[in-house]
Amino acid sequence: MSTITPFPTSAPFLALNDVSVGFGPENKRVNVLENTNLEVKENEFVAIIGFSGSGKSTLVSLLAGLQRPTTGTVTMAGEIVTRPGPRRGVMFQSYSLLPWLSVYRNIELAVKQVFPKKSKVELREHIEHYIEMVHLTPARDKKPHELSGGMRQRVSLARTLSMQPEVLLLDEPLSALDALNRAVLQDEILQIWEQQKKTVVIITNDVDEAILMADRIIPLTMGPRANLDTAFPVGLERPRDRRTLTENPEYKFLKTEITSYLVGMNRTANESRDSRIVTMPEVSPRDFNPVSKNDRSVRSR
Amino acid sequence: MSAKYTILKGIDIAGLNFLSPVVRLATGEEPAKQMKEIGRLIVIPTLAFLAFFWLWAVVAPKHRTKSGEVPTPSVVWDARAGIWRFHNYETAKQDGFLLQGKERETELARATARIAEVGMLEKIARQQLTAAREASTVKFDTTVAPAKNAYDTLREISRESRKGRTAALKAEAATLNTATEEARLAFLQKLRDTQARTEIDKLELAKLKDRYEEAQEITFPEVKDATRANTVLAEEKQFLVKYIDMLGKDSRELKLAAAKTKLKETRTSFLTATEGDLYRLGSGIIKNEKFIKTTASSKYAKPWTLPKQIVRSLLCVFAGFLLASAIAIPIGILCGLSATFMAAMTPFIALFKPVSPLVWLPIIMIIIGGFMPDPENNAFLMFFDKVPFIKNYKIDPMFLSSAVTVALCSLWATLVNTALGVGAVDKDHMNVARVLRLGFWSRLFKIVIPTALPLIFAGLRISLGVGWMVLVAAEILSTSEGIGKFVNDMYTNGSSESFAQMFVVVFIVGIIGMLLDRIMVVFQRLVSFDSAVPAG
Repeated sequence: MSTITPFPTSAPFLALNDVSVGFGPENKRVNVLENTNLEVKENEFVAIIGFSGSGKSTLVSLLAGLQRPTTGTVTMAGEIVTRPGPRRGVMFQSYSLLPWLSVYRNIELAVKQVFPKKSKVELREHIEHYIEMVHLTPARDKKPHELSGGMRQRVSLARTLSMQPEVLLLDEPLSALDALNRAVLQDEILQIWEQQKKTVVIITNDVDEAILMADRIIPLTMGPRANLDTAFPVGLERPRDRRTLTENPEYKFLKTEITSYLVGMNRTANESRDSRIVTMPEVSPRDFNPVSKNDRSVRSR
Repeated sequence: MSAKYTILKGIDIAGLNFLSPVVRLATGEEPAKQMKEIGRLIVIPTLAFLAFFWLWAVVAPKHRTKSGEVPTPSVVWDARAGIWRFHNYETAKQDGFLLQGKERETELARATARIAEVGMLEKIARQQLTAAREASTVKFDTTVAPAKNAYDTLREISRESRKGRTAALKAEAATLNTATEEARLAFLQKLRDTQARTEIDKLELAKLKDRYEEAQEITFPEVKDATRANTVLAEEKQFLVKYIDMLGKDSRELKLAAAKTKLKETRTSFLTATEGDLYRLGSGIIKNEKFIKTTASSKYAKPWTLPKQIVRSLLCVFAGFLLASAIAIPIGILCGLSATFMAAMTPFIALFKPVSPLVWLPIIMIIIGGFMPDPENNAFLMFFDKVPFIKNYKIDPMFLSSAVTVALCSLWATLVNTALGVGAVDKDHMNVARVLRLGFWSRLFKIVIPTALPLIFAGLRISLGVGWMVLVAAEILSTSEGIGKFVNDMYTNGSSESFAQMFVVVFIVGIIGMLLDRIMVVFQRLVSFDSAVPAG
């Protein structure tokens, strides 16, 4: 972990190579993801957008190493990912903070584990630095249940960043928040990313969020047998300002493009679903005797 | 303002919710609502309790047993005082035996003064008893005697009249030798009428007898009170006599002094004695020296009193509880972590959980007895004789058997709850652990156990409750000193006083059980992370 091998910037830093993930026995396997390929360059900010239930979380689990693909490989800096580790920090939708630990202790758990050689003072400085980064210093000793949703997600962000991962995997991190908190956190994440460039993959179902944050937006087709489609590159200049962004013609163009793509995808999916009409077995009750004494239609007879 | 919320929070954690409307009312918060709450949480339960006591007081004396009638609340209250008096007297004797010098003399003077006082009081009490008895005789005569007289009179009258009627009929029968059929039948009818008359008389008599017997049921509370006062004084006098002995001639100090004087005398005469006496005096000296040595460390052999038995029972239940926790929590964690281990344990849990303590106890007594054939010199037991505080409670094989029985019966709740708690670890938390690459022990202590803690404590709470219930039964059976032994002794004793003392035990066991439960509730709340509890 200490020696990071120099990596040619042109090659993909994080990649999915012909990955399929299936469930069930071999002869009847249902693939959630099928022959999926993804290439993320170093320090690139990629958004993956898709409908819920299309296998977005599976994608994050694969990238993080929490789940192994059935076929194909996941690689990071040329090495095959076989298990999760602090090089790929994951921020979960459900915060997953330990409720019995304070903000400080939650982050400490991660930092102590990733940097076991740090002295006590260094440890404290490190933790406090990241708490400050997400503006939570006043809530340093609060427990998660004393914090709002936005604050909790900030703690989660601070914990993930404190591990100093090379890749940040954000699994719908803001979808549980209200619009206001969401906007604030989007700005904060962007700001941090501008300061310390990192490879980021964010999973989202919000087109605005994707355009605001990402360099590239990759749509995920409807599951099962989901796949990553062609990316929409976002050429908007950084830093992006959400107040002026909506006026920007490129923004408008991208938003229309992506939205119509998603709507079209939804329609195709529905049509394909309609074509697969399954005849249901005829189910009629075998016994016509009254089910219960309270059945009125029977009693009135 | 913040102090108020601290108090309210404390009340909530302790589960004493009935106090919170009182605190709120005291700070003037929504008085009408608080009064309603007080009514619901304090007044109603109190009324329910009073109704219970009233019903008890009415129903109990109706049932007579070989130990007298079932005691009423007031009798039970007096019995409680009796238990306490006995404890105080015994403690006083124990302390008095060891008093020395001035202290002993002052105490002796005080006791002597008191015995004179008690003598006076006893005289008065005896007079009161005599007066009460006389009054009761009068009362008895005035209420019972008329009923008895009425009954006796009617009985006499009916007997006489029956005799008269029988004689008349017999005489008439003698004249019927030559009578006609009609006359004979008429006689038969007369006979029937007479018979019916006698039946009516009998019924009347029975009624009067009932009334008489009812009158005899009359009780004389003033006589009972006077008798009780006499008994209390007699008990105190008896105690004082012994106590004065212990402070006086039987005190360790005086005994030692006497022995030392004697030793000195014997020594002097030994040094000047002639050959014939030398052997006798010499062995006398040795015997005396031995006596002094044993006396110097002797103590009053205080019998077990209920307060001491309660402490021993608590020690026993905690020993069992600790043993149960030490077994159940690790096994429960293993069960929660491994489905395979859980599958292996399930049949054991299902099989042994329903086994009664009364089956375990004899088996365990025999097994422990096998480990400790000579309890007096057992190294393990002798270890406890050196532990401060615990050494006063005589740890013996019976104690260990009771504790193990408590453990065996109570560990199941903790085991099952721990397994449940460990099994309920959040998948996301485990994912975090995997990303951080936490090792097995870190995962266990940083994620698994903290998650399971509230459920573990819920299990411990149930275990402690079960353990406390099981303990009393185990002590009755094993005659291990404790609350159970007290109940057993009272049962064997069989007097009406000890009958009432068993009722006292019901309340003591209940209150202690309730307190133990409350303590566990507090612990449970403190480890539950979702409730707003400031920890540390």
